[in-house]
Amino acid sequence: MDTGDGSLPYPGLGRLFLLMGIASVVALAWLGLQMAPSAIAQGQNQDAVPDEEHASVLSNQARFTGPGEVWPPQPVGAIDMVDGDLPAAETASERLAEVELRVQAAQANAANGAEPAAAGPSQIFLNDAGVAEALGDDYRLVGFENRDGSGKGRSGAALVYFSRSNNATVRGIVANGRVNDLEILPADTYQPALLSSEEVEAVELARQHWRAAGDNRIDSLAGFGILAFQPDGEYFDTRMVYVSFHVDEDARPELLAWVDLSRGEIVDAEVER
Amino acid sequence: MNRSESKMSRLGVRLGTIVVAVAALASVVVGTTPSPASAASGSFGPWAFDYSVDSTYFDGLSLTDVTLNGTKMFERIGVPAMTVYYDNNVCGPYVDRLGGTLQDGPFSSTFTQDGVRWMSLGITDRIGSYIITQMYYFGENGELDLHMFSKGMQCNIRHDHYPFWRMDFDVAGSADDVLERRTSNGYVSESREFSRSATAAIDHDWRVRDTQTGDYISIQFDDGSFDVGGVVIPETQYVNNQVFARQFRSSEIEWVGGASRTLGGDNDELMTDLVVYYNGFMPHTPAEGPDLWHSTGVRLGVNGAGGGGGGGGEATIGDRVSNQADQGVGGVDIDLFSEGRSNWLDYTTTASDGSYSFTVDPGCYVITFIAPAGDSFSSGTYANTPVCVSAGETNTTIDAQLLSGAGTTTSIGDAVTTTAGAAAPGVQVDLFSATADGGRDGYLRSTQTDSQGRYSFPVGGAGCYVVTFVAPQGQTFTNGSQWLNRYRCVQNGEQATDVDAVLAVADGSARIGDRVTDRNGNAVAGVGTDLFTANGDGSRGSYLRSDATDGSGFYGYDVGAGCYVVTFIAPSGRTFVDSGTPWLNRSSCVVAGEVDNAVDAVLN
Repeated sequence: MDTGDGSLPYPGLGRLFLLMGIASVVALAWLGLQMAPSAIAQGQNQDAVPDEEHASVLSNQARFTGPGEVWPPQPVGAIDMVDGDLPAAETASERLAEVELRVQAAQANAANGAEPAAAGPSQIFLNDAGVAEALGDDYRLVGFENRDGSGKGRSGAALVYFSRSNNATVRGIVANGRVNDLEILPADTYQPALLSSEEVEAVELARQHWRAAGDNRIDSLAGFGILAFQPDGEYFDTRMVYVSFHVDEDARPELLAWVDLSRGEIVDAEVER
Repeated sequence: MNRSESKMSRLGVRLGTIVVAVAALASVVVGTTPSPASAASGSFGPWAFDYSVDSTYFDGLSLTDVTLNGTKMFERIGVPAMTVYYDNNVCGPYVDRLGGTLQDGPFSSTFTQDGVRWMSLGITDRIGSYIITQMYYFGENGELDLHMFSKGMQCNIRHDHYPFWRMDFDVAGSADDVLERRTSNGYVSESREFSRSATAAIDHDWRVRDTQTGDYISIQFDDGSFDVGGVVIPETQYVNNQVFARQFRSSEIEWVGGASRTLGGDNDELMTDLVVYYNGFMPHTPAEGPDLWHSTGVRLGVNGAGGGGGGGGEATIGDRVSNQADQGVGGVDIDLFSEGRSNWLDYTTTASDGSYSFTVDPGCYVITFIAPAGDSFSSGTYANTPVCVSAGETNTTIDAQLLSGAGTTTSIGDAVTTTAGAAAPGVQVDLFSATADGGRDGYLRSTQTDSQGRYSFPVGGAGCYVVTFVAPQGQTFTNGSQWLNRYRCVQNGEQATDVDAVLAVADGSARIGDRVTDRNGNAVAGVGTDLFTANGDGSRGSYLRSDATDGSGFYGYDVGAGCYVVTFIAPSGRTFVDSGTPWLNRSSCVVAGEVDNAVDAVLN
């Protein structure tokens, strides 16, 4: 139910966000009252850390270059700087993409009646009856690591999925052709980190919402998503993402939205004031 | 190669990896199952390590199997979480877990700064609109800096980032590592799991030492001299930093909690494989804007295994010996002992102006001044002063004053504490003369420890003695016995204060305690607490005893199984959040062996 101004009255979680919204308005109003007109004009308030604690006055003795310079900050006075020659470690996204490709290839082989490939750990995991029941129909791969047993952890292929059907993290270790240490963690007790692909999905849903609400700024703003938590620090019972829209990554937020990826819907949205 | 060229180069490597992945896919189709290599190996100077961005632990850029000159130092270092809290909870809270939305890296460079060659290794991640760069700096001198840089503004509200570094120490192997904190009496070992303020150690001086090799790694937090940039955290706010020690558990490699300022998993367990978490903070106000970046970090300095401990190498201890007219006295003998006077190391004699100095490695020592014949110090013929120095430090405050003609006393004493660190009052202590082989000879006298757990025996003069501690009924000392004998020889005028005993918490006992903080989570020291038995209806029964919070806000009671009420008494003019009054009663029921470390209080 859209009110037309981008905000959504919503039962349940909406009440929580309504309280947060009221608190936000009250807090911002309080901040406004605390700020002298001259301070507001200068972008300062009474919460600011005292000047003497900032890099601007310590720049002569700083170990790193300061704000407004290169990112990431570089060591001041460094000489003989040479780019490192360490080998590139494979990134998580590359690893997950490869696993997904393997699953797709196995499924394609099966569909075409081709000779089945040797089962990789992801196929073994997904074919396990307990895993299949825990995952349901709608799930995403969020983690995969091959552990060789050289460290203190258990050896084998570690897999982590998030089930949107059942709102749970499903993870385990595949070793010796079977699933070990299977864990099913309800979303309100644990959730894995948000992936880039999930962020993209949440930002797009939020963008559609603001576009439908008629806010002309939305197509010129960059969207950013972060896994949301309840005010007491606990997890939500669904895959909830807080999305903010900014002119660029160094700008302040202008439009906000809470996106429930499990349900594929906007839970709340507001204009940042 | 400039930075953008470097990125292109890395991209090329990544593209190469993807090509390999596609090739791997083809091989899967024909029936083989190659595994992707998720970790890479690196080295720099004395350092060697593996590194990866793990997609199941999500602890950012992690280092594993870290060695220095071939000696194992760490099993794993990572950042499992950086929690974010906003004023009044208007936004968030959040848990930033690095690696899921990686923007750049791992990338590295080498450089020289202030004469030291370093290698950097890092990643940049974007979580929401926060841009976070996690860095490691390996020094050829045996230092390893862990840094976090953050910028961006998710919400226009003042907030604090709390990065949690997780360090799985395996100094010369996983066994025999102990976490030590510096106190006024030297370094104290922590054997059980705990959660404490970083300020529980003097000058935030924590270290992990292998008791077999003596190698140790200092854990230092930024003091503005090596970690300036963005916002410098004032030293007065270090109390916000926390140290957590945990027994290794594979289930706790990753972050398992929600958004929290503290760390779970504190079961008071004995630590045989030590993991240390260091939790710092970075404040950010809306007035500072999104592009002001912040930094905080931990510096790990390896001492031993070829590591120089970082910074300045050797240290200096000195000052002067004077008389009552404040004139320097030459020719006074001074001994240098290791911590606890366990080993004699060196000696010197004061110069004609009374000055002296020792050049030492970083660590803790005891300086023993020996009065010339006919003279004495206020402590007698010998004056012992413990002192700890860090690399490059010059401490010229260790002085002594001779009292010509003063009488001398000779004594033996110290204190009895519990394994929980509490004073043990009322413990019987007997003094015996000693046989030539260190056994007990004739009984001399007895005393009891005072309210602070302390005792002292004046003895007639130089000689060897045995002090016998007698544990209260049903309790034992850490040697498993109700009795503990300690052998000590003293010289004329010596006042020995190192004959102590530690009572084990017996199976039938339990413990109640926790911490008093303000609304911002800052420890409040000196808050009085009273312990009462609890009546059947939960009201207060009989008064038992009192305790006050220490410098880190902690208090505790060793009790028997049963129900109790703890009454907190607020400092003048303050109230407790839960009661709105200057008093707060909290009840707790414990069974034998249980430790209830959750009886806390928050002050307005």
